[in-house]
Amino acid sequence: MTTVNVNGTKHAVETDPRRPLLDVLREDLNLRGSKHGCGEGECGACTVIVNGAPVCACLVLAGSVEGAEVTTIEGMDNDPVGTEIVRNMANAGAVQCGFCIPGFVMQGWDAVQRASGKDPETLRAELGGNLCRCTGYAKILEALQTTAATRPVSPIRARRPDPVPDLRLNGYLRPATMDALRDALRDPGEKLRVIAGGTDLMVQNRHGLETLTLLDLSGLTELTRIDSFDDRIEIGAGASWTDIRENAQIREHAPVLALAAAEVGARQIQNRATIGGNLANASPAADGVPPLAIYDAQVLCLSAKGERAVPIQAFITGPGKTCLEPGEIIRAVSVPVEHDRQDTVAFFEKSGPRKAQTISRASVACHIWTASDGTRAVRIAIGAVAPTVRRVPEAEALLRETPDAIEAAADLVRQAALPISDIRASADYRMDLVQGLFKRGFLRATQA
Amino acid sequence: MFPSDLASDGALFLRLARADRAHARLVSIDTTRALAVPGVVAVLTAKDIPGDRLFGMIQRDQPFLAEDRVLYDGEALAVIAAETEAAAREAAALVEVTYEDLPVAGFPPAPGDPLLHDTRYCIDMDLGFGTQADAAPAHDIEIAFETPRQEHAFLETEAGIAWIEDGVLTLSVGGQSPHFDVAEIAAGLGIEQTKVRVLNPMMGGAFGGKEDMNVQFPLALATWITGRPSRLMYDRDESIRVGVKRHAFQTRCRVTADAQGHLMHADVEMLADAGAYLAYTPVVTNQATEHCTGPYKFASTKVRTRAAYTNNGIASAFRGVGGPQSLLGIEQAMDVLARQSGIDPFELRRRNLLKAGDLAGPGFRLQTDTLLAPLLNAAESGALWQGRDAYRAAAPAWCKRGVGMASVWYSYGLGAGGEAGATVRLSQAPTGRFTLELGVPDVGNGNLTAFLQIAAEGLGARIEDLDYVMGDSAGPNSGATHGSRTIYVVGNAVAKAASELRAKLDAGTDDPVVEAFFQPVQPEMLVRGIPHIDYNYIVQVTALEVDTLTGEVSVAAIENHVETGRMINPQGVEGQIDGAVAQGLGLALYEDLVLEEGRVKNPNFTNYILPTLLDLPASTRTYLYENPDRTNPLGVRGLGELGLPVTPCSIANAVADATGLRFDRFPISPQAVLDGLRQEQGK
Ligand SMILES: Cc1cc2nc3c(=O)[nH]c(=O)nc-3n(C[C@H](O)[C@H](O)[C@H](O)COP(=O)(O)OP(=O)(O)OC[C@H]3O[C@@H](n4cnc5c(N)ncnc54)[C@H](O)[C@@H]3O)c2cc1C
Ligand code: FES
Ligand code: FES
Repeated sequence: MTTVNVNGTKHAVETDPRRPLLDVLREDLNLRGSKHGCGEGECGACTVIVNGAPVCACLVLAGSVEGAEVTTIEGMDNDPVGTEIVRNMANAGAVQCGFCIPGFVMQGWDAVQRASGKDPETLRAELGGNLCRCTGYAKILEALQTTAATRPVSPIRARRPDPVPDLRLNGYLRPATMDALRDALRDPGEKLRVIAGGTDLMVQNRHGLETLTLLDLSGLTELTRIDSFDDRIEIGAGASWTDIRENAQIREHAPVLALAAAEVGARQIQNRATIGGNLANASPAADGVPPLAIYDAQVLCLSAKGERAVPIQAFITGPGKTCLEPGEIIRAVSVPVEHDRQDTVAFFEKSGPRKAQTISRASVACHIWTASDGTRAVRIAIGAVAPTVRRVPEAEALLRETPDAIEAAADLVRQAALPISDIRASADYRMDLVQGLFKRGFLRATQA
Repeated sequence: MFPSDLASDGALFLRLARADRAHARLVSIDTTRALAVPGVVAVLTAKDIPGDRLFGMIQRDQPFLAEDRVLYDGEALAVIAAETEAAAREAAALVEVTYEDLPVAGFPPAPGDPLLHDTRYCIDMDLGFGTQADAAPAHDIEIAFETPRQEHAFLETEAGIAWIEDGVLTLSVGGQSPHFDVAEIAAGLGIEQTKVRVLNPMMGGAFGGKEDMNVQFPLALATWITGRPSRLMYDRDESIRVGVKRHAFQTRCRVTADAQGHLMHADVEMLADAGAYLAYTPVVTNQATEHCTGPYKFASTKVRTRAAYTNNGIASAFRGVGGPQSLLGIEQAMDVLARQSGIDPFELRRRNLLKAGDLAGPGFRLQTDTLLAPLLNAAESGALWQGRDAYRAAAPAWCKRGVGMASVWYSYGLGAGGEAGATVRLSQAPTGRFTLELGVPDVGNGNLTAFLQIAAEGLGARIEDLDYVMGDSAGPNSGATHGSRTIYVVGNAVAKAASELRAKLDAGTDDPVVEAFFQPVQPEMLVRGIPHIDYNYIVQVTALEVDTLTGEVSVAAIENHVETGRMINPQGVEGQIDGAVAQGLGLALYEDLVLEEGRVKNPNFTNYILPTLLDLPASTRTYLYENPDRTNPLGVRGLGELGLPVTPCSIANAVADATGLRFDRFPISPQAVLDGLRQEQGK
């Protein structure tokens, strides 16, 4: 039995908590307005609002929304923002087949409120996670622009989930406290899989979720904290990319991480996906890793035995491989802080097959500054061009000595790459790309 | 409610067991273990099909379920019906198949490839007119390239339900041709057509990809045999793996001209990848053949078109069928000619426009003048073209900018000999409300709104006074929604019905029902399907930026100038153009179905790249020019497709303007751009 609060009504559903929320909404609650377009977070047709933030319902576990407030397209009927969007879409002729529209209304609901009073680019940038195959987007965008101009406000607000006790069902445990988590880690069993945002795990196990034994971290509000200390920022493993890109301390002290956070997937993914999941998944293309590498972050790993700190570069040992032991999870990531940086050049450049919601073919994180004692710091890391993220010490040393040797540094960046060819790009192109991205990032950051 | 939203209580969940070979002999199919899965109600193979086991719109060559051989990866072998989706999935994986592997026929065909049907080439046409002049041309240009298979990627995959109602097997599915589906299903089940009814509710997109049968027969078979309702929706990876695609082409287009830019001879050669069965291949190759020399006058032409059977899935209709694959040849050649001859690309086209009575393309006589001159004038004086120098000059240091144009024609309606006409019914109830009944579905292209507008106007009524029955094989046969024909053919039938009913009502009838039939006048046939009664015209100007560090192309702005015929719903026309442009942009820059030995390597939205909102230009302007068409009483044209084929052409020409490069493969990949730039530099 799982209890979900949808559109203001509590529903007790006889269902496995490991099913996707989308299936429960459509099949068990007969709320068929949220559409199934892909089941892998790519199309946004299933977008619903959980605790004030749009997410892809196909990548949310039913069990993880217990205690949360879910709003679906059906619940937009009496929302002032939702009704305004629908009216403007009708007036603009934005609806062709209509299949993508519920998703655009839900994501648009958030987008128009975020973009209200800002330039049109802000609104466009919020909409990369919704595909439409019919309209070419022009009239959908027009309808949302019209709505944003009216500065609408919805009574549905961001909120933290209600505290719910530990959920313990066959094959599914969602601890409510750190103590319960430690208990669970004491005797993990061989099959135990940790799930946080689920945006990697649910895609990888699309049709086999109910066969997994899951430890769901999403009920632990402690894991979502971002705490700032004099010498470091501690980012809870459960912090989402939206939390990270909007955090003032991170933007100030680890700006490249904030820039990278804004490039992960699109908004629905950023609202759900966590930094801990990104690290533990250990994809060579993970966008969170290069920025953490340049800041020499430490991964704080928790087990029943206690906690240990592992340098980020040692934490990821190969594609999909980490040094986590059975019964060990990431509790937080610790990013060292340096004060009074001068003459900062900071950028994160990534390039994938398209401009939004795209997996990196190559990425470059770079932060250059002059420290308070006058020494120059140059940090460069590259992603998606080797089995693991690599720092580029040769280029760093060169630029410390010769600040404008950009061409030569770019060559060194290229030489540091050890890429493979796959469906997204050939090895040769990845070499060219990482070199080009370094140069472009530098030019953009210094010419702006 | 979309087809995938429909579910009736107690419906069985269907899944298809599919072959994981691109080419093999089927030695045996063992369903024992699948049947033993708890909850499984039936596992049906070809042997369980009571009637004809083959189907096909043009040629009945495709088995509903493979029986003795497999011709493409993912070909359906068995229909599983179960009480739960999980049981159906489990059972589908437990159907045990023994194959004898056979070599795979790829594209382009290589010597020694196996023969899949009695002939390698299902299409082989050699057409053209006149003889090439002896005089040496001042310009001799050749463009050669290949285009990939393109996935329709309708946002709702193939889906539907079936049930039996009063003895009639009823389906509600995402399809485009309900009357045709009825005939195929009835034949397959060996029952009367009156025992089958197919409904096409509003569905999540089609674009030609739901013209062929998809979920229809599995649903029909399972429900007919078990007597229970059933439901089926393809997974996204299944849809991309087995759904029909746009044909991949290899095209070569050679054009000669004199020093004044007058076109002399065109020599076009096209080879299409038909895939495993015929499907709509002849329509696609006809369209490519008909349009391949553009709306331009040549002294002589030679057009060779072939399509080869391969094990690369199935290729069929996709919006703008045959258009991009052929028009990219002539439109790029015209662009090169303009550069070589120093003649402005608009002027070069104006100099060569076809007129009524001229021989066109592969050798048919054009009925009416092309309507391009005013569009060319407008586009030339438009903001984008006039501002091109300033736009180029403002490029960031690491980018090159370019502005390109293309002007294309694209037919509407079905080709000579192909249009059977449309019947619609219009009636008035005692309450005063009207009901419009027609068979064709609205596949998301907005034709319903247009029909209601036409009927309301003809009746002198308000749209609110009309009810409708649409996409229902029980309704009058108005054909299928394809070929940009519905507004043109069905729309005229609606207009006729409205004026007849109005006349009847004015005369005080006590039988306020009319059934009207409309069939457009057919042009003289060159070959079946060629030519069409008339053509649409569009001129497009595109501004874009090429990043010389990464090879990425970003389209900044697109301006369209479109001849619309009489406009029923201008917003709807703009929407059709916008949507087609996005699909054309996808073909030009992103969409590439990767096949290896007949297997799709990217059957998901993570790796089959569709353009997002951020990949489309921040600015798109579409200017509509309304000239009522003279070939039909309503004066309308069908505008659903034309925005697609023009877009890769103008993008290719804009990339060439920015970089001087032409590409032999679409989509244009950033890697190819970088390689090209490097070679230029090395020169
Ligand atoms: C449409 C789409 C677009 C995407 N785009 C990008 C992108 O642009 N860039 C990018 O980097 N990624 C992208 N991703 C991948 C994914 O969103 C990120 O990697 C994300 O950060 C994973 O976090 P999660 O919380 O969802 O992980 P989950 O799926 O919950 O977990 C991922 C893995 O980490 C383990 N895990 C999770 N949390 C912990 C923990 N605290 N301790 C130990 N193990 C843990 C899980 O067991 C699992 O193996 C995309 C995904 C989708 C679906
Ligand atoms: S169904 Fe496509 S993102 Fe969820
Ligand atoms: S309107 Fe059809 S997918 Fe957007």
